[in-house]
Amino acid sequence: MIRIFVRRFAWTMVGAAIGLAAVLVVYFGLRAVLDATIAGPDGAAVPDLLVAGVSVAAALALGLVPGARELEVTAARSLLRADAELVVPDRETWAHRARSGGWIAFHLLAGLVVGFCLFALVPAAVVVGTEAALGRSVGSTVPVVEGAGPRTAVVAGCVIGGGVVLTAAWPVGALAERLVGRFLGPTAADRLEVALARQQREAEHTLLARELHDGIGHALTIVSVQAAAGRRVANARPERAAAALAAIEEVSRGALVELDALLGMLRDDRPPTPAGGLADVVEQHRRSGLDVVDAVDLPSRLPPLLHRTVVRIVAEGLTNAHRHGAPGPVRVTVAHTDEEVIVQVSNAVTAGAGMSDSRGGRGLAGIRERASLFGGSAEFGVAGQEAGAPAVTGDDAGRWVLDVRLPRITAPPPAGARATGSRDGRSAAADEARGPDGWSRPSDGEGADD
Amino acid sequence: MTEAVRVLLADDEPLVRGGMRLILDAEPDLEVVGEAGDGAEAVSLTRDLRPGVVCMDVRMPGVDGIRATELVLRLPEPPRVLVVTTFEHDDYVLDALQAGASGFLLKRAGADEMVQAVRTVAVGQSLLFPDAVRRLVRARPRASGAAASLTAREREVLTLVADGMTNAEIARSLVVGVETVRTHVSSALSKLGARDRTQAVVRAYQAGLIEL
Repeated sequence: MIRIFVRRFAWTMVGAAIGLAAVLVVYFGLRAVLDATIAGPDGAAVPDLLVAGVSVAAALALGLVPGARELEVTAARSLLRADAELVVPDRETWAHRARSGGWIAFHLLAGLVVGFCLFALVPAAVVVGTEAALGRSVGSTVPVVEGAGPRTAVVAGCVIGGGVVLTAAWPVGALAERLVGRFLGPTAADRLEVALARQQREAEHTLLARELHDGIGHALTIVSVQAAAGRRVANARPERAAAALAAIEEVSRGALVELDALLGMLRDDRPPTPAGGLADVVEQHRRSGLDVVDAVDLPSRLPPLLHRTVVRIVAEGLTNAHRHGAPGPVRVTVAHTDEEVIVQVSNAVTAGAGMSDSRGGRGLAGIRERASLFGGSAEFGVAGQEAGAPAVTGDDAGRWVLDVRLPRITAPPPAGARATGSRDGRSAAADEARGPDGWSRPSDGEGADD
Repeated sequence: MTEAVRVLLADDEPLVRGGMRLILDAEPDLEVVGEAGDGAEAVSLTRDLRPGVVCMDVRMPGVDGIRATELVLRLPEPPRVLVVTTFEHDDYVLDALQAGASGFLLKRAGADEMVQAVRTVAVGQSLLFPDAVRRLVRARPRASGAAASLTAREREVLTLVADGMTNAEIARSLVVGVETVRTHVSSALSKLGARDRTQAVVRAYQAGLIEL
């Protein structure tokens, strides 16, 4: 109990000290400015409201100072015993800065209030109470009351009032503990970013596991079976043993190449993202001999994660068309509405030939997985013919079509607008926060959600 | 053994089939009569060639090994199915055993083990790789199947079956006649609705009738 009080008191005193310093700086600064401009050396008093207003602005501006949030988080963690999770973001957005500023302003105000209680109201209560008890003035300007009844009432009032203001740090600290999470806790965007990152990591681990299973596991299985067989018949049928060795050589060499690629991917700690943008991917496939007809209309401000996903899907669609499609042009269409981004890759097929590779089509499964990560969908197959295949659009009948729809993550609201709190609005914020190309959220739109 | 065991290999990888064929064909008592590249082919070849044992890869395109196992076991005079898998901790393997496969074999097993597994399954005298079966069942939460009521003796016999013993070994261990053991085993099998020892053991484990 006492320990909690001391901690809360210490926290308010930190605020009081910084707050007082801020107010003094503002006061003398303003006075210097006023003296120099309007009033001259012995000029007019500085208006109190102006001092207060500028002080609050200064406190808010402290939120912009690098490290200020860290300091406040540390103070809150060690002095306030709040249950809320507090974060110092790696990349500060304006939402974070605004909240930091708001918290600092609250902290300084709380400190000044408690300080005022302690250094003005408590002494006043002591003096007034003493005068009422003694029945004579000891120097205050408050008139001494007459009569036993009123004097007792004043003494009692002063004792109680003095006690209340003396412990003002308690309720103020309690309020701070309650509020700190809203200001210094993770924003909705932070939480979403963490969740999305985790989700993506898991999806990538799944992909990686599948690559290992399908690629290396498959190759090693062949190697072990062929080796067992070769050894078994080495004496009786040496020519078969030699054939087994040849198969082992070839398969293990292929597996090493694949392993190299997988390890490279792990070293980079990122999924196999095609280098460059959509145009580069299409260009690469053209260079390798694929006849690509593209109609790409990508929104200019697409969140990076979504953009990367579109690029990957097109890359995998083209690879698939290259490997399994019949000769003829491959059509790539990227279009968008307000709600979704639509990616279509279509190619001719030889009648009866499957498009997915024999091991379950891991590229296509990967596409489906990525699409579902965004709450989107992926359909593929011969248009209008196979179960689960996309419906025929245009002249796609009889062509193999990959059709992916990714819910459009809306662009960030313009400055000053408030986020509607829709899921998409939040994902946009999260995507931006993680975006490598450094666009930041222009306004604090998150407050509406809390 | 008078007649060679006819074996059908089903695996989508020709090099795996080729290797297994080389190993099994080297044995005088085993004969590989056909190869299937997927589950559907495995079913139709089983119908045509009437093998005694089908070595069935679990993961195959189209009709997978589990579905194919179900289908071949519905044929008249069904073969025994030996499930072949790349990975021991494959959920599909237990599914295949529940579908009625008589045992499973890891592709990485050596030639001797592979030959032995085919022989064991063909004869059906004892459970293949009892420890591995136990591990597989343990990895899956127990299905609350309708618990058949086994007698104490049947349970005792089944526990020894689960340890991989043959009827003769069980008879020696319990100091009873082989015929008695056979009666207990077939009674336990029919109570559990099991096709063979493997399925009986899996079901008994899952119903909690014998200790894992």
